[in-house]
Amino acid sequence: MNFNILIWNQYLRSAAPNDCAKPLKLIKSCPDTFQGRNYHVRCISGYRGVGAGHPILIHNAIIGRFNASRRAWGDVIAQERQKNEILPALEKVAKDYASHEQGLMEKVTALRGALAGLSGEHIDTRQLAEAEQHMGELLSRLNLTVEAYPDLKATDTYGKLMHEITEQQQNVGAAIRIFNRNVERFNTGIEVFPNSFINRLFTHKKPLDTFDDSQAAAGIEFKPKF
Amino acid sequence: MSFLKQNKDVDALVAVMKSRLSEARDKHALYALLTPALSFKGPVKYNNTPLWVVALVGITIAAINAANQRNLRFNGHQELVTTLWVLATLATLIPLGWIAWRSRRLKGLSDAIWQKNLLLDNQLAPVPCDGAKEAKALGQRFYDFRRGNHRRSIDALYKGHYQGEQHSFDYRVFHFHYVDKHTHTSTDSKGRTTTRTSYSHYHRYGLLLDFGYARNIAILGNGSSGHKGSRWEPASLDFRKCFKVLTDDEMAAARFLKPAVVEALTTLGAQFRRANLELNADGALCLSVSDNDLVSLPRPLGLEAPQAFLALLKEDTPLPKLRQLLKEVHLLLVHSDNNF
Repeated sequence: MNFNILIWNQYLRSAAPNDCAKPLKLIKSCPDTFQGRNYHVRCISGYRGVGAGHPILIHNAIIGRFNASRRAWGDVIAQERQKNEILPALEKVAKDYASHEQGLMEKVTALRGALAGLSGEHIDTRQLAEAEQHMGELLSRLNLTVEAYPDLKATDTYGKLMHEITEQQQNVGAAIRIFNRNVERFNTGIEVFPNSFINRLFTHKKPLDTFDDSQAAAGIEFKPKF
Repeated sequence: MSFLKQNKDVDALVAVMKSRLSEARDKHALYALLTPALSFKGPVKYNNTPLWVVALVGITIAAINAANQRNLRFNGHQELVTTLWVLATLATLIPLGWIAWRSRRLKGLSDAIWQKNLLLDNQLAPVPCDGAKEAKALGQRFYDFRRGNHRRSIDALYKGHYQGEQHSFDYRVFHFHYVDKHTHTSTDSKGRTTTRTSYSHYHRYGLLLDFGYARNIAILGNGSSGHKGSRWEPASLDFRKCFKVLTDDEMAAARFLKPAVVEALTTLGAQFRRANLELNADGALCLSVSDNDLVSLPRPLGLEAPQAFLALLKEDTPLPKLRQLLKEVHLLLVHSDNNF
């Protein structure tokens, strides 16, 4: 596809001399005094510039959206790691209220191990799914502990802990939604024409898979192809 | 002359209600305010029949004069034509102006009662202030109040208190009005220069409160008005489309703009027009939008139907956009505080 021809046709359809300033604002101005053939030559050269620059703009936009998707995935991992902050408080609860029950402490240890396995450099979403699974098990265990020790519910530590857990889960959920939305925009950006053509020719990016939280809960392996 | 008595009674009713309105401090006082309107004999409206008749006479004189002015001028009655035109204009415009003034007077009273009701329903109290001085004082604290090159004023200021699940805070709601002055100079073909001045009026509405958990961050959906700092972008592409973030501490911005906050602000950017958030060096927050229904709602009824109007006042009328903004602020506080 020749963009010069495309844009030239678009220019021929446009009437006003000032329209030559419109395409991507690459041509800053066409003075009203600029008349006749010189004016057209100037506009054509401007459009050639646009035509030559257009694939570069598309390529850069694809790279930009790809990097934003990677960064959004990094945020998901970072938010997951925030769970390390609640582990000391959970251990305190386990010691104070469920010292003769090993269940809660075991879940805390398992979650700590899963969080340590998360890597920002090597994307392994199985680990993320595992960490989420451990988190779910830990919360179930915590609920059982609260039922067994009603006094726990009234403590300051438990209140703060539940607020922190709620906020962290909200942030993990939001990070995953942001990642999915970025991936959606990236995928659209490489699939629509003429971006698909530029991508096949120069950029060579493949569509990414969105992350489904229910997949993580079910322990299904998910790997974004970064 | 029953219309004279009716109009006199309506005048007296409006005067009484206006004086009582300024003293009304709670809902019961507001309901009591409508008592004279409920016991009013006949409809609470002016009888404008005589004024319409005078205006009609004026229009008739104008029509007759227009039809016959050529003959009258031909016969040397130039002064009569002019006199008739003046008479017709006065006879038409004065009654119509009077009718409009009366209508505005009643509508204005209904609007004032409705606005008072909205403030009481939403636990807002007016803060008396000098608009220009207040705008200047706020301009020293927030860049957002440095818009407009001609005039700035706080047209309305209310104070309130929000009680959330985890945080409670005092806040102020403002209506900021600023004016941009434009001077256009043009030269015609003969080289004569003419200068034309025009004024553009802008209105911003929003919240002011002590936030405390973050400083020197500006999240701009309405462009900068001198905000300083380096640019920082979160991962969300949707957020980047709505807002530009300026900060002097990128780590602080990253801590403040957690994914849940980014998502909430993106939603806010889609639901409100041209939202701006500014956290100043003291940790105070200014959240401003261009939506003019932040502290006002259209009035469905008025004093023309006092019984129905009273029933409407007795219902709780929330300000949905204000409540949504307050919820967003609470969410920001929840995600910015430290639970441990």
